[in-house]
Amino acid sequence: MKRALSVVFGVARTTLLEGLQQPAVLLLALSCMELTALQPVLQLHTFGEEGRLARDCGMAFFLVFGVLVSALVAGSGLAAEIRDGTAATALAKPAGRASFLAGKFLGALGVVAAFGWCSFWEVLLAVRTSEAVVETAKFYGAVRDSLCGLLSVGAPLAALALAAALDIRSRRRFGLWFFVFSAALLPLAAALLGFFDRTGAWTGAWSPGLDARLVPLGVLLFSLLAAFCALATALTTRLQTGSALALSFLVLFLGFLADGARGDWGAAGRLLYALVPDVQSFWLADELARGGRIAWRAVAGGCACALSWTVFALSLGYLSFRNKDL
Amino acid sequence: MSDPQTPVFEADGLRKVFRDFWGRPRTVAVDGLSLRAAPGEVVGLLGPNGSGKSTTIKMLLGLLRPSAGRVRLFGRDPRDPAARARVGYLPELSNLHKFLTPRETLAYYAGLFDIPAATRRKRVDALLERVGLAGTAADRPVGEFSKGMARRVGLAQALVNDPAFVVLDEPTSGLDPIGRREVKDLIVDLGRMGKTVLLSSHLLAEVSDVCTRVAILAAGRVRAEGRLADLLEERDRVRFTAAGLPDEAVPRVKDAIAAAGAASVAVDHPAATLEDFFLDVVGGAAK
Repeated sequence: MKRALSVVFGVARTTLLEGLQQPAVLLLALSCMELTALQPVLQLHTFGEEGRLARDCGMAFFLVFGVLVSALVAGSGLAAEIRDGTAATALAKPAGRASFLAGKFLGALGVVAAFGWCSFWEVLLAVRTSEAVVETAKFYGAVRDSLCGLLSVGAPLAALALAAALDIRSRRRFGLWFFVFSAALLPLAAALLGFFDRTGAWTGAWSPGLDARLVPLGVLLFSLLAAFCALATALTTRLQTGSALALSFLVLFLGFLADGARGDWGAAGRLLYALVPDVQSFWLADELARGGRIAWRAVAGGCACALSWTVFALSLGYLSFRNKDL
Repeated sequence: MSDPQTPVFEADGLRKVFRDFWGRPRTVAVDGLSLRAAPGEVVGLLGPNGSGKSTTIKMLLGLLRPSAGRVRLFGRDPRDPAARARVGYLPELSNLHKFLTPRETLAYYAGLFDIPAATRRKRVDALLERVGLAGTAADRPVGEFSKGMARRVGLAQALVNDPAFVVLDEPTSGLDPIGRREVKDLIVDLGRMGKTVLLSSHLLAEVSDVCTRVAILAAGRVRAEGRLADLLEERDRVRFTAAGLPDEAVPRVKDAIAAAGAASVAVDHPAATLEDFFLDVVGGAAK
């Protein structure tokens, strides 16, 4: 048992390090963060729903880019290891295939968590940046939080510059340090913004100023990404990254259809609902409209569903990997 | 500990058929192969490309599932991770994680053996020293390495658990003559230390220099097998080697041998191998 855990930990750590070093993962994360940060500025027809649009766009970026990152990391983590022979080298040692697969999944999940952490802070900042009515003693009107926008756009770029400086000076890992700096700078920016109001004026007292109601939605979507990460890991035991990516998006698409199909498509719809995760039950952004909240019970239900889907996908992955010739 | 009489590995009637997507037989890579090694033997697996050497090795290590036949590793099924705990494996291609440094690579593989951290650090340092990658090279990503340097990292990872059985698949591919000699010396050392070595190669000189026993594979079958000395010995010929014999004495010795009943007598000066000569020249230049 101790050796199995040691294998899981070792494989997960290597997968995490490799995943964070992938240039494609860095580009996807940077694109997601910058698109999220910029979209409050780029919105044209908002119909007075700036905050909602920022939130929905940000979380949609979080989900879609998250599925991309999951498939990519699982693909580079497992399909490439099988193709390049590093899996054979590891499995010629006393590493069980179940432990190896679990390690690959956890490592890929670690990369998705790093991506998710940074992207979620960007969504929180984007919602604050978007135009809203402000009423203070000196000001009344709709205003966009320019300081917040500047910090949310600047933090990933600063992380990029710091990681580059570290790489040039002491040959540290560029991708890894980009994520470390982003993960630290974004919450720091959010904490700093607590001392300013939306007009950019210093308030002297700290208040969070972020929409904490997004946290349950973030947890739900992250649990869904964990299920997609497990699906991509299972698929890459037999398929290359491109095919796993295409199938992951097909499942995401069918998952969006599943709830409607259950009522409209008869037996086929019920079968689809049973086979794919019902993405609608994770996408509860509409609950937040007009000051609403997502109940933690719904979050727990969603996480349990995602967990069971994760276990199911990994079990299928193990069955596929158990007797695979390496 | 396993019984010292238990073969390190034994394969009986091993067969491997690779199939296509629809399950139709595509290639018979190994066909009824039987082979075993006792503890302490250095066994050479010789054969041309495509003769089934790597496939056999992968079946011995549980990486490929045999289509028929039986494999045991230290008396156990090789698919059992515990059976592989005393095995070191260098694959045909080095197969390394290119973002990791040699130090991290060795630490990663040592971690799979659950070696305590303190022992792991010492062993990693010693192995880096042994394969000539100590110093700054130890902390550079493997992706930046030449094929020969990557091969050295691969060799070090195969020894990270101080294995009782070392499987080396084309260990000198990509190495320069100095690296080749170092690997050959290493294999000889492993043999002296009582380790069992299975060396797969298509370089005949390499195998004849280090192995005590060979198996020659062709088209997935063992075509010849035995102790190298027995296979190569020409029992009807005798060779004398003398140092310091003056040239004028040679005809007399030749005549004496002929008079003793030899059917034919040949006289020449033994030549050094090109490898020895190369190493002398390069070694001299380095000094």
